[in-house]
Amino acid sequence: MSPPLDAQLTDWRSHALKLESEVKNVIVGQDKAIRLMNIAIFARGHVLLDGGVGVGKTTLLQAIARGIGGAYERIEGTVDLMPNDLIYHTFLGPDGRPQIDEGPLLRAGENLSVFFFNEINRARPQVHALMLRVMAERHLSAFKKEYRMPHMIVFADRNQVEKNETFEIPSAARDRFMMEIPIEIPTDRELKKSLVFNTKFQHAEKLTQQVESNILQFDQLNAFSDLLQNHIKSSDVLEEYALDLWEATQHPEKFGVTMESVDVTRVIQTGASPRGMGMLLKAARVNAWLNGRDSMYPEDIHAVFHEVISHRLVFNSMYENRRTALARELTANIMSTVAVPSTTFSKAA
Amino acid sequence: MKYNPMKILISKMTASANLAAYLLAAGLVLNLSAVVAKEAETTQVADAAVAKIVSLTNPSASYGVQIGDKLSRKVVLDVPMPYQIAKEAFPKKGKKANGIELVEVNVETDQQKTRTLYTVSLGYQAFTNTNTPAVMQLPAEQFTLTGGEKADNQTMAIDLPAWGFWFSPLVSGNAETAQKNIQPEFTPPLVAIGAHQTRLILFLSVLAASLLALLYINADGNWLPFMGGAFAQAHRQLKRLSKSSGAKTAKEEKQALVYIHQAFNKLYRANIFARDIERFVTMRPSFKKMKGDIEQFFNYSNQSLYSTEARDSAKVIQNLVQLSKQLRDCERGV
Repeated sequence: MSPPLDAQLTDWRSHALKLESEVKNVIVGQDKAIRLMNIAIFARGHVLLDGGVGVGKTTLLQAIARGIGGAYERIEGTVDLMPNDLIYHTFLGPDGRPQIDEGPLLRAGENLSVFFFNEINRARPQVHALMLRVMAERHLSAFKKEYRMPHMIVFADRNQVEKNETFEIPSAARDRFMMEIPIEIPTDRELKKSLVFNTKFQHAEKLTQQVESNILQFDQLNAFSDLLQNHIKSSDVLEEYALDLWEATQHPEKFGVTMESVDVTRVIQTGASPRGMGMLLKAARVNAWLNGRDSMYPEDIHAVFHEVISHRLVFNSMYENRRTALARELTANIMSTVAVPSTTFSKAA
Repeated sequence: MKYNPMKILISKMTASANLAAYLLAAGLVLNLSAVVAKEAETTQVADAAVAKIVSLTNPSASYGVQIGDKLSRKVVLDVPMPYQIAKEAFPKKGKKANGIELVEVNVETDQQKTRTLYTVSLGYQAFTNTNTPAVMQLPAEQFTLTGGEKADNQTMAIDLPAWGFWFSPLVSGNAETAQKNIQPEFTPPLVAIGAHQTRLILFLSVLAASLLALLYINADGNWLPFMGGAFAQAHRQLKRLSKSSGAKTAKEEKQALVYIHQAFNKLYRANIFARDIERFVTMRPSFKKMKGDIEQFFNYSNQSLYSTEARDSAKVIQNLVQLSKQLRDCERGV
């Protein structure tokens, strides 16, 4: 017999907050990213980390993977990486005969909880295609059988600085990721000093070992996520607001959204997708739960809006080079301009 | 009896009386300046043995007489016994001569042992209508004596000489004449009211400022341009909502919250949330004292708008009316 709902919610919440706390102990200056990754874990969404070299993306992922428990697999994106490299690899066995073994994607089977794709944009589009299919379906046919990975969450990272020998992930593929989380160098001077002079931050493996393992029960996350999503309520006002936000990503000018450096009517080619909005509200519900509420507030949507929506926006080609800055400005302006409670609600009332 | 203008004469009535009057008038014209200086002319009589004029008082000025003016003469006659002046001998009221009418005659008699004193007051009025200045005279009068000895065919009398003066006619003519004679008009001297005026203006200014201040602080209406602030508008809408008939539902409660949110958004010039309160009070320091209430409002608003718990909507709306009034006061800097 399962424990009462309230007890489950409280229990899981304490575990979630503990995971955050453990990771924060070893990764400094990334509190927001840690909270967002925690949200993604409970919303069962894949995450694309975006940042420069050596900012701690891998260490962060390893620390979180340790806390979640389950199997952790990793692959490096390279220009010669092929889809089959994810599924199997060949080698000469002790008997000198060639052997085939399961690749990193299949090796752990249903125990796979975190699959880390390092520098995903260095891999070819064929690899992207396979990876994105697995992300969506969480199963794969190989060796004449079906491999299921129901608990898998993909964390991928992308180096935005280096563009040589990289393959940009197409917008349709980006849409599969629930969030694109920017990992930035902390701005606080004391934190920077600590990162540079404190030797404990220079041994990533030792650092991640400090995180308590198996804080969460990875194989129960899917069930609890469903429970959580059903439990958190949204009022009619909030639903109207979410729809307004969605429309604002498609036609920002209708809501009076402006941008400083560009004509807002020319920037957007395509706004957020229905899947994107669904993921936005899933993530917002988790944020509400993490804040101890059973109703969503606009602040919950705001907490994840940029990270869930910005990589789904398709800009006109002339603005693609400035995507990061423009997406940040646009999402911020949408949140500050679209009224809640909306005037539509006011008139209707 | 010799004719002497400076003495009282008892003489025969002669036709040359009028001529003598004209001569007197001519003399007056020649000596006008001397006459002006005199206040009254009195004739004294020296010889006490015969009837005489004791005193004679003429009008004080012999110029500037106009139509309708009254001129008075007063003469005191001393008539020795047994002579007397008959009542009929005094001039009769209504007598007219040369534009002069005797309009008043008054005789007082003082009977003494050896003589009788008659005080005769004569009032004349000028009625001539000449257009140019003219010499005129109060006519000479004669008081006939009776009762004593007298020569044959002779009448004993006391002569009162004529008194000449200048008649000044009123200007007659048309507008042109009036224009020629027009004189500068002097404005009447004004009473100094500067101090009162200053005090009055000051008082009215203070009164007006006080009324405006009261209006600004308390008035709900948008009567002045600076009274249409966001919270003033919200307060009006909330009052209307609270006064509307019917039970207050959750929908109306949400509507009330919307009014205040819209006011906040308008002042903040963006969508404002609980996390923005600190920035809001920094941007609008007049709301700093309400920071706690604003935080409470956002907390309550979140619960009301986004959760499903039931509340007493009427009470909530009433509280929001109060809150909006306090926020309006902040907005108006009260």
